[in-house]
Amino acid sequence: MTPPIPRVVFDCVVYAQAIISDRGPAAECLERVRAGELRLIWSDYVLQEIRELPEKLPTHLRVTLERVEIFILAIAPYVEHVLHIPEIYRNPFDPDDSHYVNLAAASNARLITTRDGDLLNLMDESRPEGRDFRRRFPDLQILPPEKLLELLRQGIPD
Amino acid sequence: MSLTINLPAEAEARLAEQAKAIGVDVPTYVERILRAAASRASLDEVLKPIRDSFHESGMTEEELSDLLVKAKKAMRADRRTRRGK
Repeated sequence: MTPPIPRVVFDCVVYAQAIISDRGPAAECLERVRAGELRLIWSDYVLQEIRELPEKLPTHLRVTLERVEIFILAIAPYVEHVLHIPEIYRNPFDPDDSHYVNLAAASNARLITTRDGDLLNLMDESRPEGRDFRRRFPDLQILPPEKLLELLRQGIPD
Repeated sequence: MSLTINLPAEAEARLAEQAKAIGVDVPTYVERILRAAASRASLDEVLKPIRDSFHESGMTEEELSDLLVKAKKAMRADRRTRRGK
Protein backbone atom coordinates (compact mmCIF):
# COMPACT_ATOMS: atom_id res chain seq x y z
CA MET A 1 0.00 0.00 0.00
CA THR A 2 1.27 3.48 -0.84
CA PRO A 3 2.10 5.46 2.30
CA PRO A 4 0.02 8.64 2.80
CA ILE A 5 1.58 11.87 1.56
CA PRO A 6 2.86 13.84 4.60
CA ARG A 7 0.83 16.97 5.25
CA VAL A 8 2.82 20.10 6.01
CA VAL A 9 2.22 23.73 6.93
CA PHE A 10 4.83 26.27 5.79
CA ASP A 11 5.39 29.50 7.68
CA CYS A 12 5.11 32.58 5.39
CA VAL A 13 8.89 33.01 5.70
CA VAL A 14 9.45 29.67 3.93
CA TYR A 15 7.32 30.83 0.98
CA ALA A 16 9.20 34.13 0.85
CA GLN A 17 12.57 32.40 0.96
CA ALA A 18 11.54 30.07 -1.88
CA ILE A 19 10.48 33.09 -3.94
CA ILE A 20 13.76 34.94 -3.34
CA SER A 21 16.29 32.11 -3.52
CA ASP A 22 15.99 29.15 -5.86
CA ARG A 23 19.05 27.40 -4.42
CA GLY A 24 18.16 27.12 -0.76
CA PRO A 25 16.33 24.45 1.26
CA ALA A 26 13.06 26.42 1.24
CA ALA A 27 12.94 26.28 -2.57
CA GLU A 28 13.74 22.57 -2.46
CA CYS A 29 10.90 22.00 0.03
CA LEU A 30 8.53 23.69 -2.39
CA GLU A 31 9.85 21.54 -5.23
CA ARG A 32 9.06 18.46 -3.11
CA VAL A 33 5.50 19.79 -2.81
CA ARG A 34 5.25 20.22 -6.57
CA ALA A 35 6.67 16.72 -7.03
CA GLY A 36 3.83 15.35 -4.91
CA GLU A 37 6.05 14.22 -2.01
CA LEU A 38 4.37 16.61 0.44
CA ARG A 39 0.82 17.91 0.73
CA LEU A 40 0.96 21.61 1.55
CA ILE A 41 -1.76 23.24 3.64
CA TRP A 42 -2.57 26.94 3.78
CA SER A 43 -5.35 29.27 4.89
CA ASP A 44 -6.56 32.82 4.36
CA TYR A 45 -4.27 33.94 7.20
CA VAL A 46 -1.20 32.32 5.61
CA LEU A 47 -2.07 33.84 2.23
CA GLN A 48 -2.43 37.26 3.84
CA GLU A 49 1.03 36.92 5.40
CA ILE A 50 2.57 35.77 2.08
CA ARG A 51 1.03 38.83 0.39
CA GLU A 52 1.94 41.37 3.09
CA LEU A 53 5.51 40.29 3.80
CA PRO A 54 7.02 41.93 0.66
CA GLU A 55 6.04 45.36 2.02
CA LYS A 56 8.69 44.90 4.70
CA LEU A 57 11.49 43.70 2.43
CA PRO A 58 14.28 45.87 1.01
CA THR A 59 13.25 47.21 -2.40
CA HIS A 60 16.51 46.01 -4.00
CA LEU A 61 15.18 42.44 -3.72
CA ARG A 62 12.40 43.45 -6.15
CA VAL A 63 9.72 41.30 -4.52
CA THR A 64 6.55 42.92 -5.85
CA LEU A 65 2.99 41.96 -5.01
CA GLU A 66 2.36 41.18 -8.68
CA ARG A 67 5.19 38.60 -8.71
CA VAL A 68 3.97 37.15 -5.43
CA GLU A 69 0.45 36.76 -6.90
CA ILE A 70 1.85 34.84 -9.87
CA PHE A 71 3.77 32.63 -7.43
CA ILE A 72 0.54 31.96 -5.45
CA LEU A 73 -1.32 31.16 -8.65
CA ALA A 74 1.41 28.72 -9.72
CA ILE A 75 1.53 26.74 -6.49
CA ALA A 76 -2.20 26.84 -5.63
CA PRO A 77 -2.90 23.54 -7.47
CA TYR A 78 -0.56 21.77 -5.05
CA VAL A 79 -2.06 23.28 -1.91
CA GLU A 80 -5.06 22.41 0.21
CA HIS A 81 -6.93 25.47 1.48
CA VAL A 82 -8.39 25.06 4.95
CA LEU A 83 -11.21 27.38 5.96
CA HIS A 84 -12.32 26.28 9.40
CA ILE A 85 -9.51 26.63 11.94
CA PRO A 86 -10.52 26.46 15.60
CA GLU A 87 -8.31 28.49 17.95
CA ILE A 88 -7.21 25.78 20.32
CA TYR A 89 -3.65 26.94 21.04
CA ARG A 90 -1.89 30.19 21.84
CA ASN A 91 1.87 30.36 21.28
CA PRO A 92 3.38 31.93 24.42
CA PHE A 93 6.44 33.16 22.49
CA ASP A 94 4.47 34.96 19.77
CA PRO A 95 0.65 34.76 19.77
CA ASP A 96 0.61 35.73 16.08
CA ASP A 97 2.32 32.41 15.31
CA SER A 98 -0.48 30.45 17.01
CA HIS A 99 -2.37 30.22 13.74
CA TYR A 100 0.27 27.95 12.21
CA VAL A 101 -0.17 25.43 15.04
CA ASN A 102 -3.96 25.71 14.89
CA LEU A 103 -3.89 25.24 11.11
CA ALA A 104 -1.75 22.10 11.45
CA ALA A 105 -4.08 20.74 14.14
CA ALA A 106 -7.21 21.51 12.09
CA SER A 107 -5.83 19.85 8.95
CA ASN A 108 -4.14 16.81 10.52
CA ALA A 109 -0.74 18.05 9.38
CA ARG A 110 2.08 16.64 11.47
CA LEU A 111 4.73 19.01 10.22
CA ILE A 112 5.27 22.76 10.40
CA THR A 113 8.27 24.17 8.57
CA THR A 114 9.62 27.50 9.69
CA ARG A 115 12.72 29.60 10.32
CA ASP A 116 11.13 31.43 13.21
CA GLY A 117 12.59 30.76 16.66
CA ASP A 118 9.24 31.57 18.27
CA LEU A 119 7.83 28.45 16.60
CA LEU A 120 10.98 26.28 16.66
CA ASN A 121 11.40 26.84 20.41
CA LEU A 122 8.09 25.03 21.00
CA MET A 123 10.02 21.81 20.28
CA ASP A 124 12.50 22.57 23.09
CA GLU A 125 11.42 20.44 26.02
CA SER A 126 13.99 22.06 28.31
CA ARG A 127 11.55 25.00 28.40
CA PRO A 128 8.18 24.80 30.19
CA GLU A 129 6.47 26.17 27.06
CA GLY A 130 8.06 23.38 25.00
CA ARG A 131 7.03 20.70 27.47
CA ASP A 132 3.44 21.99 27.43
CA PHE A 133 3.42 22.08 23.61
CA ARG A 134 4.84 18.56 23.27
CA ARG A 135 2.33 17.24 25.80
CA ARG A 136 -0.57 18.77 23.87
CA PHE A 137 0.71 18.01 20.36
CA PRO A 138 2.95 14.92 20.65
CA ASP A 139 2.62 14.06 16.94
CA LEU A 140 3.37 17.55 15.61
CA GLN A 141 6.92 18.43 14.59
CA ILE A 142 8.15 21.96 13.98
CA LEU A 143 11.35 22.05 12.00
CA PRO A 144 13.41 24.23 9.63
CA PRO A 145 13.40 23.47 5.87
CA GLU A 146 16.73 21.60 5.86
CA LYS A 147 15.44 19.25 8.60
CA LEU A 148 12.26 18.60 6.64
CA LEU A 149 14.39 17.60 3.64
CA GLU A 150 16.47 15.32 5.88
CA LEU A 151 13.27 13.73 7.18
CA LEU A 152 12.05 13.16 3.61
CA ARG A 153 15.34 11.48 2.73
CA GLN A 154 15.08 9.21 5.77
CA GLY A 155 11.39 8.49 5.20
CA ILE A 156 8.72 10.05 7.38
CA PRO A 157 7.14 7.47 9.70
CA ASP A 158 3.33 7.05 9.46
CA MET B 1 -10.79 44.43 -22.99
CA SER B 2 -13.79 42.67 -21.49
CA LEU B 3 -14.89 39.13 -22.32
CA THR B 4 -18.02 37.09 -21.78
CA ILE B 5 -17.30 33.40 -21.36
CA ASN B 6 -19.91 30.64 -21.19
CA LEU B 7 -18.76 27.72 -19.07
CA PRO B 8 -20.40 24.46 -18.04
CA ALA B 9 -21.52 24.40 -14.41
CA GLU B 10 -18.83 21.88 -13.50
CA ALA B 11 -16.03 24.14 -14.79
CA GLU B 12 -17.59 27.11 -13.03
CA ALA B 13 -17.69 25.20 -9.75
CA ARG B 14 -14.05 24.18 -10.11
CA LEU B 15 -12.99 27.74 -10.88
CA ALA B 16 -14.90 28.95 -7.84
CA GLU B 17 -13.11 26.38 -5.70
CA GLN B 18 -9.69 27.35 -7.09
CA ALA B 19 -10.40 31.07 -6.66
CA LYS B 20 -11.46 30.49 -3.06
CA ALA B 21 -8.22 28.59 -2.44
CA ILE B 22 -6.18 31.72 -3.10
CA GLY B 23 -8.63 34.08 -1.47
CA VAL B 24 -9.96 35.92 -4.53
CA ASP B 25 -13.26 36.00 -6.45
CA VAL B 26 -13.76 34.12 -9.74
CA PRO B 27 -13.38 37.12 -12.12
CA THR B 28 -10.09 38.10 -10.42
CA TYR B 29 -8.85 34.52 -10.57
CA VAL B 30 -9.73 34.13 -14.25
CA GLU B 31 -8.11 37.50 -15.05
CA ARG B 32 -4.89 36.38 -13.34
CA ILE B 33 -4.84 33.07 -15.21
CA LEU B 34 -5.33 34.87 -18.53
CA ARG B 35 -2.67 37.47 -17.71
CA ALA B 36 -0.21 34.71 -16.81
CA ALA B 37 -1.06 32.81 -20.00
CA ALA B 38 -0.71 35.97 -22.09
CA SER B 39 2.70 36.76 -20.63
CA ARG B 40 3.84 33.20 -21.45
CA ALA B 41 6.37 33.53 -18.68
CA SER B 42 7.15 30.55 -16.50
CA LEU B 43 7.27 30.99 -12.75
CA ASP B 44 11.06 30.86 -12.87
CA GLU B 45 11.09 33.65 -15.47
CA VAL B 46 8.75 35.79 -13.33
CA LEU B 47 10.92 35.29 -10.25
CA LYS B 48 14.26 35.67 -12.07
CA PRO B 49 14.69 39.42 -11.33
CA ILE B 50 14.18 38.74 -7.61
CA ARG B 51 16.57 35.80 -7.57
CA ASP B 52 19.21 37.67 -9.58
CA SER B 53 18.98 40.58 -7.11
CA PHE B 54 19.43 38.19 -4.21
CA HIS B 55 22.48 36.49 -5.75
CA GLU B 56 24.00 39.87 -6.63
CA SER B 57 23.50 41.07 -3.04
CA GLY B 58 25.97 38.47 -1.75
CA MET B 59 23.56 37.64 1.06
CA THR B 60 23.70 34.08 2.44
CA GLU B 61 20.64 31.85 3.00
CA GLU B 62 21.06 32.34 6.76
CA GLU B 63 21.16 36.12 6.40
CA LEU B 64 18.07 35.95 4.20
CA SER B 65 16.28 33.83 6.84
CA ASP B 66 17.07 36.39 9.55
CA LEU B 67 15.90 39.23 7.31
CA LEU B 68 12.63 37.46 6.54
CA VAL B 69 11.85 36.60 10.16
CA LYS B 70 12.49 40.25 11.14
CA ALA B 71 10.25 41.39 8.25
CA LYS B 72 7.50 39.04 9.45
CA LYS B 73 7.65 40.48 12.97
CA ALA B 74 7.60 44.05 11.58
CA MET B 75 4.61 43.19 9.36
CA ARG B 76 2.70 41.88 12.38
CA ALA B 77 3.61 44.90 14.51
CA ASP B 78 2.14 47.10 11.75
CA ARG B 79 -0.98 44.94 11.66
CA ARG B 80 -1.44 45.27 15.42
CA THR B 81 -1.00 49.04 15.15
CA ARG B 82 -3.62 49.21 12.39
CA ARG B 83 -6.03 47.11 14.49
CA GLY B 84 -5.43 49.38 17.48
CA LYS B 85 -6.40 52.50 15.54
